[in-house]
Amino acid sequence: MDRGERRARRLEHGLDRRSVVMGAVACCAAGGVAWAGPEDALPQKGDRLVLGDGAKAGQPILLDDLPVGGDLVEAVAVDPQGVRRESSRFAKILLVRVAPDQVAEDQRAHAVDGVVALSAICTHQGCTISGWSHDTKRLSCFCHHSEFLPAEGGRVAKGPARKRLPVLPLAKGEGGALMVAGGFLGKPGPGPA
Amino acid sequence: MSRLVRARGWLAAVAPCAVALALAAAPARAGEAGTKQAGKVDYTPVTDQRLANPEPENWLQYRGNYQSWGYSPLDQITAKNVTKLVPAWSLSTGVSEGHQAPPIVNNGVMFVTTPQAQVMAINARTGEILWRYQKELPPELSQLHPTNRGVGLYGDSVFMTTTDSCVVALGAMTGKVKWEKCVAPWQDGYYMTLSPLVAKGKVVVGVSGGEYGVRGFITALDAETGNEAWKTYTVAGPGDPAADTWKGDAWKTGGGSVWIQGSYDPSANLAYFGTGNGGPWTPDARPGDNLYTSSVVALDLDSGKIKGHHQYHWNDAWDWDEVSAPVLIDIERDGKKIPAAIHAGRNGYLWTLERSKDGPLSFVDGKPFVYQNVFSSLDPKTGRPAYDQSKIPGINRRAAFCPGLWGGKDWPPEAYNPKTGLFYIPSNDNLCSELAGAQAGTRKPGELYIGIPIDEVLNSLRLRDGVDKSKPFAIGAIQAWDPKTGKKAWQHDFQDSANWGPLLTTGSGLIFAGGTSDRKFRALDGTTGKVLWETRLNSGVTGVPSSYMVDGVQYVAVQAGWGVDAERMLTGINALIPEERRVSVLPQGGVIWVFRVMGEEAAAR
Repeated sequence: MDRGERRARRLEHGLDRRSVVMGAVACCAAGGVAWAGPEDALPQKGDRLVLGDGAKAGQPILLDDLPVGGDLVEAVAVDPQGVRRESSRFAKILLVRVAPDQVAEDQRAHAVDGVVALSAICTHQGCTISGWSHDTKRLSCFCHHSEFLPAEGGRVAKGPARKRLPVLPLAKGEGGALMVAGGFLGKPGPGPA
Repeated sequence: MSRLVRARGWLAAVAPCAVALALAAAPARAGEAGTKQAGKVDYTPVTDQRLANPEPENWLQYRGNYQSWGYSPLDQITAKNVTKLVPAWSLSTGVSEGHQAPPIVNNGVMFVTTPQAQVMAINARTGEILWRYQKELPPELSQLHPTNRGVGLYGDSVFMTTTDSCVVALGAMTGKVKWEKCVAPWQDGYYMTLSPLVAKGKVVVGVSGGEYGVRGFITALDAETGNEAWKTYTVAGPGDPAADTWKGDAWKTGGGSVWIQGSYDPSANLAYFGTGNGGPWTPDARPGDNLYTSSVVALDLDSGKIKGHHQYHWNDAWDWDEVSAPVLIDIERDGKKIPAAIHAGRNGYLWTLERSKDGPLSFVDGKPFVYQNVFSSLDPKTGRPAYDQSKIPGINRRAAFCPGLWGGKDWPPEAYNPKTGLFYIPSNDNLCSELAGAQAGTRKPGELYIGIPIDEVLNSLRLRDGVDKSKPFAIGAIQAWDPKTGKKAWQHDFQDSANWGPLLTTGSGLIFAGGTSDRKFRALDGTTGKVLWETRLNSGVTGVPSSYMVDGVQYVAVQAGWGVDAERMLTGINALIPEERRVSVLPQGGVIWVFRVMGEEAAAR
């Protein structure tokens, strides 16, 4: 386990305890549905990725499905039992593909042939990110126009966000299927830089 | 003498009918009402009578009165002494984003809401914090508009809406929760930012979420219990007389959100709310007039029944919410007395309607107050606009139009001054938008559903044809119109800056407003438009200013704290003008500022 992974584990565990409590409070206060807690809710090592949107929603995502210069892809993690991890907004995943040499060196271990995965939740006010420009290599958020660099570890390119988008480490599975290699490298959602 | 006892002393003098405001953490009990206790600040219950006839020294609701005038009769601060205006106190709110709420004051106790579901009670004279309430918002909540526009007051309760779509009732004396009622699921895209309209024991609120494909509504809750008294959709569904203005299932995701407090006419028992645009943004996704979007609706306060309406423009294509409540003024036009409802539209037209006791609204006139190239004409009887077809964006159809998405006037409220007889508008001109839509696809709860690609929206702002950007040009302005003649009296322009400044006008004929990207807060002469005083604050001012009096001293209060759409528009303007004229850094962070005339306090004593 490298330093980054240990840090990510610590963050996840911290998130576990806090979020279960906060989720319960939010549930009861707002009269909404309880949040299942991130242990089950967030993507885990060994999950496979399927398409979250469009006509092929639910189908496995293969490397060949993601051309360099293609669109932003919304992905969902599916656990080994076949259960989609969708109970938390914080489990939402974005995929983009750039040329492999455009992925920052310290991020290449988490990418697969230029495909990088990140949390889809803007770290500013929690909106779902849906804008992607292959020209500028930036993800953009409609809500307050924050921009992020997915190939540089989700670094903030333009505020108001201050915190980077957590990266989800990827691995290549059988037949080029995209798999989750570990939990998010940071807490998804709004928070301090 | 303890600090608390001193606090009691100053308030007891001005609050003959009061309840005790406990500064300690002890919970409020109903039995405390009407009593005074040592070591506590007195609090005067808010009644229907007081809301209908607010004392000059108080600012009891969003626009000061039910008619939405934004007017304080106080006249101690004048054109002569306003140059001596200095801060009496200031207070950090501790949060960033858009600070839009007015400091609301009841006999020396100020209530201020901020983003992130916070409300503070403050000694209005000294700035001492009496209590603070912060609602814990759901961790997974997304906030498209992290802001709040103020409290509602009634009895000894304080009411606030929250971005997780709830209404919270707090004890005015304690800040303790009396009840909490969530009126819609935030997970489905509903949220709330408006100040509640409170009347006859009802707390009347509406929901935001037009960008998420919600179906807008207004609901009234019982002020004592939070129980729903009624709920009225602003998008006509099956059974509504206007249901045929929608086709198929479009009404289910039709928008029509309600995010600004309504006006209220107690004599007719009618509340007047403005409504948002239809959703998704592309008009061809929802053929028909789409009642009651981009309209004003007159609701019977007891039943919530829509007794009258006027749609400012049909089948919106331009994101032109018309949420600002009409300003209720009795005017005389051409020798005829008209109980008017006046609204400066996001669509760039100044609308004058005639109210009736039974509810129906009739068109008097409408005229552009900024450059508008979408309406080719208005029907002289009904006011219904005809459109230039080349200015209508839609699915796979690109069009440019003026004014742009943020309109001629967005949410910042107008003001009316009965002394000057003028109606004031915070406007924006010379900006347009260009959009091309796409299929909105399948709606997913809580996710954006506008039918316009993100890049289109983020890069939509355009300059009006003919504007020379090589030199400073006017965007924001404060305009003064005479409702009696329907003519403009004066206009004060702001160069290279939009105006996001809500207006306050006073009995001495002054106007107070911020709103520009230079962070300035100003006083203008309401008769001439001349700037008499200005000061630069910690951040841009998008807060609603208010005025009040304690111990014989008049104060002007406002929140500074730039954010949300003012910030979005600034990004767009920066992309249009040369680098050397851009405001590239406009820090966020809320501060409540309270001003008084230097030396005036001593004079009063």
